[in-house]
Amino acid sequence: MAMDTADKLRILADAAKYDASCASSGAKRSNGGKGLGNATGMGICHSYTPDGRCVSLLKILLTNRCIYDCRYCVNRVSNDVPRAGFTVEEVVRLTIEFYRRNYIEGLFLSSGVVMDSDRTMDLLAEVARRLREEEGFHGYIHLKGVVGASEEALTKAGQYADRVSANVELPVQADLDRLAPEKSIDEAESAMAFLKEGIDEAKGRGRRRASTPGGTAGARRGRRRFAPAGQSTQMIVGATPSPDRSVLETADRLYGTHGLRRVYYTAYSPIPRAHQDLPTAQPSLVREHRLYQADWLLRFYGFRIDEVVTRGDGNLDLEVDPKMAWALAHRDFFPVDVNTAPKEALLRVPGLGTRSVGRILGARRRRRLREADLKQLRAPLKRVLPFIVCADSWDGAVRDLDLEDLREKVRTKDRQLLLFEANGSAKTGQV
Amino acid sequence: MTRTVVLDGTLDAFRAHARALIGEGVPPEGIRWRDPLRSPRAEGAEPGLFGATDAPSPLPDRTAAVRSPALELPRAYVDALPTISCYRDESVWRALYVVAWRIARGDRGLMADPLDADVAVLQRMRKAIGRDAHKMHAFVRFRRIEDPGARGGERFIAWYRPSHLIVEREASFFRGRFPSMDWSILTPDRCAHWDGREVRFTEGAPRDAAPDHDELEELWCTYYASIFNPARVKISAMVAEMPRKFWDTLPETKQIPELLADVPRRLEEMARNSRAVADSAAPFVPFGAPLDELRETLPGCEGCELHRNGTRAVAGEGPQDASTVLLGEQPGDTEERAGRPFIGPAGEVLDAALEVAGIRREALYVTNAVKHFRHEPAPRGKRRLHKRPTIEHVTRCQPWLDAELAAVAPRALVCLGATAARAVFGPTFRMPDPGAAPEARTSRYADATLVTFHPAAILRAEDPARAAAMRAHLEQTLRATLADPAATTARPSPG
Repeated sequence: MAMDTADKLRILADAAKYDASCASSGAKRSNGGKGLGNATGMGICHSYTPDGRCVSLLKILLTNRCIYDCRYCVNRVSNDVPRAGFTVEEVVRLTIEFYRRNYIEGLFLSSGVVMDSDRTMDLLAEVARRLREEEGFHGYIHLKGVVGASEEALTKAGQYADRVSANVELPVQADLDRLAPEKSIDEAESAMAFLKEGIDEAKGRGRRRASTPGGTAGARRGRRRFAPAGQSTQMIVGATPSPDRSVLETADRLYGTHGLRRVYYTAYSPIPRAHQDLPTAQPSLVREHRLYQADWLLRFYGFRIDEVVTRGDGNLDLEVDPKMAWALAHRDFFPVDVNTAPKEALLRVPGLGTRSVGRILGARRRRRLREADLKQLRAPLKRVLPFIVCADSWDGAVRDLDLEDLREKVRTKDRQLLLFEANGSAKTGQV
Repeated sequence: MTRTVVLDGTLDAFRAHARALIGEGVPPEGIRWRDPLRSPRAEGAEPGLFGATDAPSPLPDRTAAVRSPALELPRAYVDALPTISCYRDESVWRALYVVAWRIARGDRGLMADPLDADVAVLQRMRKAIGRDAHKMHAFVRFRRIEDPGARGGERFIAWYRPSHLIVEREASFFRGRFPSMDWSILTPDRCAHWDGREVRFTEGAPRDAAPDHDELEELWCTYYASIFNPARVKISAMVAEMPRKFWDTLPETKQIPELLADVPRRLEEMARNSRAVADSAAPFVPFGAPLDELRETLPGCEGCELHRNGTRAVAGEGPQDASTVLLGEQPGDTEERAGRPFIGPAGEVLDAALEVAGIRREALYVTNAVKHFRHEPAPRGKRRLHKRPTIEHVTRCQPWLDAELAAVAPRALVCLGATAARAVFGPTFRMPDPGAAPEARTSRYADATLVTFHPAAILRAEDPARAAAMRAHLEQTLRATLADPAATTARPSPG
């Protein structure tokens, strides 16, 4: 390919990296023995960059030109950065050629808003349409749902993409008013509501078809699909003073109302030439991590928001994970007996995830579990032991649970921003 | 007495021997399992080097197996068997036999116990295979060659070194994913080839049997280098997921040392860029100042690159207590030379329309969304050609407009043209139809904000009928500001 494609790729891949999602899972797509590519539903990470992040998709912008001026965004119109734009054909070629060499699972295409939202959404969907209809491509496609686009353009996107994501960007409208005056949460949510309709309808249709014999496989495929991997969204944290509680409340509402598969939280990363209204220091990466932990507790562990946010200022505890924070504040709930407690109670024990709990339930059917067994099941004993009893716990011991400094004992040493690691490598050349 | 069973590496041979041995009641301690293909000595060694001791034991005769009591193993074991048998170490056969033996002796639920040491060994092996397969799906890198004998005249070839004996098992993944390509995956153990009809397997091949370059790799490396965020370096996480043993066949990893070496420089650059770069006129605007002070400060503005284009900034004109403001796009050639808004050809059109509407221009405050003149460089002596300011210029210049309108606080604001309207209503604003009646709406600048056509657009319109309609729209809009009687007369200034 020509040299200028490389220049564009440099600019438009760099500009796309602020979108956190790289997931390629959740969609099954087969090719019927023809064409190129499939999606197994699992997602594959084809490489890893030195920031520890997975490379699964060709994640680029169609263009970084944008008519909007969102202060947190490197592509905002008032920013003086080099601009570039791919043609639809260039993105199609890059995707196909990368895919054929097994570099990627598919494409994640986003864009600055050019002309207007509608035109932009239509261009993104056109890339997907050409990949599917003209190139016989069955790999994974994630399109950015452009907020404010018409229902027609969003429909086209849903028809050809596996996932569509409309970003809310910031947790509350007041934050948007300050940093992205042209954006509104309501508008993002109406795009989500429209996509949800399409997704639900396609699912219902799939079920009906599956139960009525006679529908050909060809009819089931093609036009009848609508974003089978669902929709997701992204929120930037740390660009405004909004506390974690607002972030989680918004996430919780979006999960509930629009059936989102994922909410991504991304610590505001100081972008080149940031706007003066923004913090210049790197916000805590630990905070981002804690939000994901809290998100998980809300969705899979039966926690409520007022249980995960225990601090008065509405923020998550940075020193200990949210489940530990809850446990420290509710010591009367413990100890939990690993040999008899129901699954829900085990899931409340700090350090025990759904997988360890599954292993404990399997193992205790055959024997009474002792401390050494938990160790073999790879439970993090330092965090787990104060909150449980097992077959060889000694009743008379002074329980850690009553210690004033328990918090100090169970604290994990999360390292903030591993810059020194990078500097070290830079000096030695070792990685 | 210990019995030695030499296998030929296949699962079928193990199955046959194991069934017979369990039938005979031979305990695990009584058997030494040998598998030259999996023994540590085998790699790189010439076949047959070890002579007769490596010859596979003859398979037990079928009738012996039939005579032995029916051996029905639970699903959990049977399903795991093909996977675990890919494990590249002969200890795998003993591990499989031990568990089969114990199950056959009556412990039917054994596989469900993760704490049992024998089951844990199998599970560790199974997990290693699963991980190896997953990494193979991820890390195989095809290189394209021209091949007249292949479909489409091209063939995709990869060289890969899996940790376990998984090539035959995993070929189906690649067949499913790349049906329309002719491909080969070469490994030291076995090679798989797909031609659209079937997957063929051949003997292992050395690395130099595969091509050493692909034209796309440069672009791929460019992509890899561009998505790496130097502010979040986390090498341990990268190496945990992409161990160094795979780097050899991953073209993108060659640049990792270089990328890391560049991190301090890139961070410094980011820090530099995040400080005090004017990205709008805001730092140059004395906000809250009266109009004459704004006018005095305007020439020092460096809010966008237009301040370097050799033109001067043109300030707005009119009384601070004007109740109506007219907002244009940017000064033109004549305006820039004179330093006054709307005095060129477009100004004449505006003046004529104001007269028709019965409005005195002196009562109005007239200004532009962008204060500098953006133009094409003109040949010597010729008029400089207007070039429409981008939304970026408008956005950067907006603090001046904010300050002017805060000083004037008009009741009515008339946007002349799309650029002015977008400065007020946002970048997606669309112009009304010339036939539409003027419509006043509220904006952050004035309670009555109206949008009409720019006089220069009327001059440029090629269709006379359309030009007339636009002119009428301009006149009607200007007249509409009179609906508020205060619009024509100056308000008494406060104090």
